[in-house]
Amino acid sequence: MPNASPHTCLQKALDHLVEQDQDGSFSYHPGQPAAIEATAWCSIALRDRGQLAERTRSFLLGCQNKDGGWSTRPQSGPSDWTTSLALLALRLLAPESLTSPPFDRGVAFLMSTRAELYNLAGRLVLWLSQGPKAAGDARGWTWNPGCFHWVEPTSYAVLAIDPLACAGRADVKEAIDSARKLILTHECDGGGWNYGNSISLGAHLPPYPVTTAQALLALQDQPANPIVVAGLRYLRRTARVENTVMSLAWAALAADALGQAPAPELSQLTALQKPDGSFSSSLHLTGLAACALETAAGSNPLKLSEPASANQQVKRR
Amino acid sequence: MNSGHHDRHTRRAFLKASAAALCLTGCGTLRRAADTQAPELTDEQRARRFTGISRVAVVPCRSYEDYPGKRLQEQAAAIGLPSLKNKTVVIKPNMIEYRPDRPVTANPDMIAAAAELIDSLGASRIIVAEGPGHFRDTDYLLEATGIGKMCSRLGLPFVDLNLDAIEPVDNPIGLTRLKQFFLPRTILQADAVVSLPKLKTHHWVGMTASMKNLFGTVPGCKYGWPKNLLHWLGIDMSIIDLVHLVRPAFAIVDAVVCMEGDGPINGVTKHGGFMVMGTDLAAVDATCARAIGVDPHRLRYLRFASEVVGNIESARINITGADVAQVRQEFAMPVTFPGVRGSWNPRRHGA
Repeated sequence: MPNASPHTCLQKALDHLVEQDQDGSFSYHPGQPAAIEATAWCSIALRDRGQLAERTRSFLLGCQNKDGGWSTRPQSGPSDWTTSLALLALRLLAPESLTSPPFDRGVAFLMSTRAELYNLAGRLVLWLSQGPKAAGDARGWTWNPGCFHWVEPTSYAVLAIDPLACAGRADVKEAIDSARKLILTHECDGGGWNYGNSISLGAHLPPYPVTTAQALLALQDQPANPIVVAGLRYLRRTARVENTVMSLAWAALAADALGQAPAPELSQLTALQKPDGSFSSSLHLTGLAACALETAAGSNPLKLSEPASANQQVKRR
Repeated sequence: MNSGHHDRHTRRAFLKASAAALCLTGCGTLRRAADTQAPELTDEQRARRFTGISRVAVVPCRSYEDYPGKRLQEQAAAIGLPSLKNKTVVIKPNMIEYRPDRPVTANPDMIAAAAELIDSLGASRIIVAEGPGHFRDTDYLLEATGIGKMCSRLGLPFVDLNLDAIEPVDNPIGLTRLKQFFLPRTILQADAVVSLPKLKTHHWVGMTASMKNLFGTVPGCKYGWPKNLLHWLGIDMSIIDLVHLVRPAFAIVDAVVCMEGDGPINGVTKHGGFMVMGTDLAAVDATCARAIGVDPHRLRYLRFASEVVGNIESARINITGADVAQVRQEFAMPVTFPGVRGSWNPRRHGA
């Protein structure tokens, strides 16, 4: 039996997500407390549903911490990596958020929690253990403040605040340029990205589809860069072999952002949809899959060159 | 000409020696950099230590087809495993990431063996739960490792601890400076947790066995992929804190097929042919260390464990099943543990 079209699958997924709405928030699994990551992906998928989007915005603003960041769930300790996803959702739900005080405070949190650079001795150790690229001066973002930088949280931060850099904020532009440099220098041997370093104690580490797609989305401003080209080639070769919702959805979003039609990934993705419209027992993956399915209709919420306001105008029934 | 040739060799030898010395210094420095300074231990911390004689089973098992479940059950009474009657028990395997050519994760047949044992001890519900430390794509890991298929076959639910509901747990007398951890509800609500690691060498702590395996109980949704904060807090001390917070009822170490060299990911296969089981995790890991030819006192986390968890002295560990000497093999250690014994040589070990 042929798969349903991406459009049909998208509608079913969105209907499923609406049923899981907890007054504007979403959890990883039904019945659990709200989670910022799940709320971000589900609400981005549902961003043209006005009232729900407004409730999500209220939820996110209501659980912003005093330091400007967000914690993975409300009242779950210090602000962490989900701050970028909260900001990404806020700017996609309401483009005017970009200039709002809560967004400013969130950006201030991100700008103050970039990974610290090592001193000379530390860099020597990194150079010895992970090669010269690891000892560079590029800085990215961490999972938790005060720790080392990694590809995934760095990519999220770039996606969240790049429009500010484009709008002329010099400090944000410097941070994003540095983050992109970090990602570029962490390319794995043969293309693609591991979650962090590409070498550990002399051993080359393999790339992974999900982190590769995230890195490519952060580097979508340079589609002709040979490192990006090699990463995309790896991604499109591998994600379809892994054939999971997570790898296919991320691959489709990355390929589309770099100007390649993700039809093969979408074809496989639609085949993974369950009868109730979900793609996984984890709601955030259904949200992510829905975002990926949008690409079939020419929309991609993670495409940085696409004006945020245009997202609101996408015609989706 | 000869002289020049000789010079080149001398220079090359010198450069090689310098690089080797620098590397060793660097590796030692690197590991020390990861070793956040330990606090002075207090009487309150030491009071948590198990003070009796530990009982540990060393169970020969040539392969995963060699009835590991039956062999574990034969040793259960001898080492005093607790009754699990009507209890909800979480099996926590190691499923950190997948490499098709390397023994990185617990073998699915070991999960079946553990479930068989736990069932024989009366458990009313068995859950398999893990928060993979590197891969976010748990669906892929379950498929690729075969653990998902095994869970389905046995009718055991799998919980991704990375995305579970989380709750704060106070850590007032922990060794790390983190006074509150967030841990998954599935772990906190379980009546018993069973640690089920794969025995591997580990380039930051020397060896990963029943205690380091508990890193997988820490939720990625809070601490990321990898759980880098635990490294910044001091890996050795984080291990100890997690032992006290999770309080596993017992551990079964899968040492049937192990990893040596640059573990826990980049090492190579080493056939161990045994399992280790016990309720005192310090004693279990110390026994594993001896079985791979490492003095437990050379591993920093085990030195901490001997102060605040349990026994690592062989005189205080009563071994049942087989003698350690029967299963003992020299494992190649990572370069970050020079001098512990037989350092890792990628060329010699075919990495």
